[in-house]
Amino acid sequence: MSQRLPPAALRERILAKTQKLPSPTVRDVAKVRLKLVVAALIPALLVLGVLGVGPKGRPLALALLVSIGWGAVAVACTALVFSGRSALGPSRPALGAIALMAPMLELLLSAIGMVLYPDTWSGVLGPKTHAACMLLGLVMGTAPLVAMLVHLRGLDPVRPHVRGAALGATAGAWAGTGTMLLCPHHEWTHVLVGHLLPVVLFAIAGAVVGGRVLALKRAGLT
Amino acid sequence: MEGMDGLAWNPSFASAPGTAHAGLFLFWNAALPATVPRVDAEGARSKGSLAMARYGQGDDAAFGEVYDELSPRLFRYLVRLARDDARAEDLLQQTFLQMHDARGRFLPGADVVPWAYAIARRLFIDGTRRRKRDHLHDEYMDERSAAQNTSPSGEAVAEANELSEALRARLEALPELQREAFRLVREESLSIAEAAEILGVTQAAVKLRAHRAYESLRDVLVELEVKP
Repeated sequence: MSQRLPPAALRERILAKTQKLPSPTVRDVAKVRLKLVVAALIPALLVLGVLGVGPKGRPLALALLVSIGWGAVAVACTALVFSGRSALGPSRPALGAIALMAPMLELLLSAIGMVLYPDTWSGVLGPKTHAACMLLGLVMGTAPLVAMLVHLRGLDPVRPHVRGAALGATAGAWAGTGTMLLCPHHEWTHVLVGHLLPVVLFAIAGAVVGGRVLALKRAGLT
Repeated sequence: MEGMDGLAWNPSFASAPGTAHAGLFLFWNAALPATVPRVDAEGARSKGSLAMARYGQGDDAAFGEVYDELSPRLFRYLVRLARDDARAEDLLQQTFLQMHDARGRFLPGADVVPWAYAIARRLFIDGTRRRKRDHLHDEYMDERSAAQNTSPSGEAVAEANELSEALRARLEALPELQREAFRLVREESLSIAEAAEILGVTQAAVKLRAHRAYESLRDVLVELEVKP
């Protein structure tokens, strides 16, 4: 039985189009990626530089536990979300696990810290304090999320929403690490609202925005 | 039993000749366009993947190799999906241009085949949605039906056509994910792992869906009283 083949002219047409409009190579993409990493770090570095980093009244061990712990989660999420041997990226379950596990691991680390070192803050922790930390988290996490979305825009033909959620959780984990370096409070409501809620919000935003931004688009050449 | 490797996960797929399963495969092979032999598929995978990696690094000449290795398989896949050669050509062109556009992000060492199929499938789905939205889909279906009704027929050809159409109709009536799992595994000779990657589901889900599709198609033979 004969097998259908595409017309020979189609090959020439496609190759002519690709020569007419060159696309970025691995080296070009690496350069852009470096710029995006720098751009993603700038807001966080500015915030941390202006407000200062340190234990700020917390026991040093607690400050190290939560800062390094949340940082490790952020590093792991970043490594996992860009890992995999497939050109399609990590599998849907892996991406879903990143989106779900990042805030859960961070909650676990903070819970350990709060149990071991109860809050000794004598002042009132009201909504303004929670909102301040949340705002800082949103400021520091938005640039990483945007950078990751820009890097992968229009490239996911299979699971853009789930990948967006994983990217959002990753950006949220980095933002949470930043706020952990700044914030002296370790009280349940504050940690949940001021520190963990932004991570969840970033994951949701990543899923919604990522579904549109990451989804495969028709190449501009057609 | 060549060509059944992709379904070897399920003992019922590897039944001995003379069973209803074997009968279905014989009729499937007779009624539908030939599938790509597994050996060719794996050859294309390694050559195509290496060429795509070189293209990503900036070797412009390598894209011709990528095209030569992948285009016959992708074209057949797209013709099966679109049932329209012209549309399949357009989708094939879009798929390769998409791969060209994203070459800098192709992971060296990765398999180009699932990536290419996933792009082709997504472009087909998006295009179909766009067509439906523009109320062009009905017109397309009418044209397709008209084209199908013009085929020549003798008695044997008519019987084969009847069976082919019955299988095709049942395949089209299946839930989308069952149909796609079956197509990728059976018609495209992709492995369960590759099909799972393209569809973005687990391997167990692909097995289950392909199996359900298979069972449903087997029922067509029973309904038509085709002896295995």
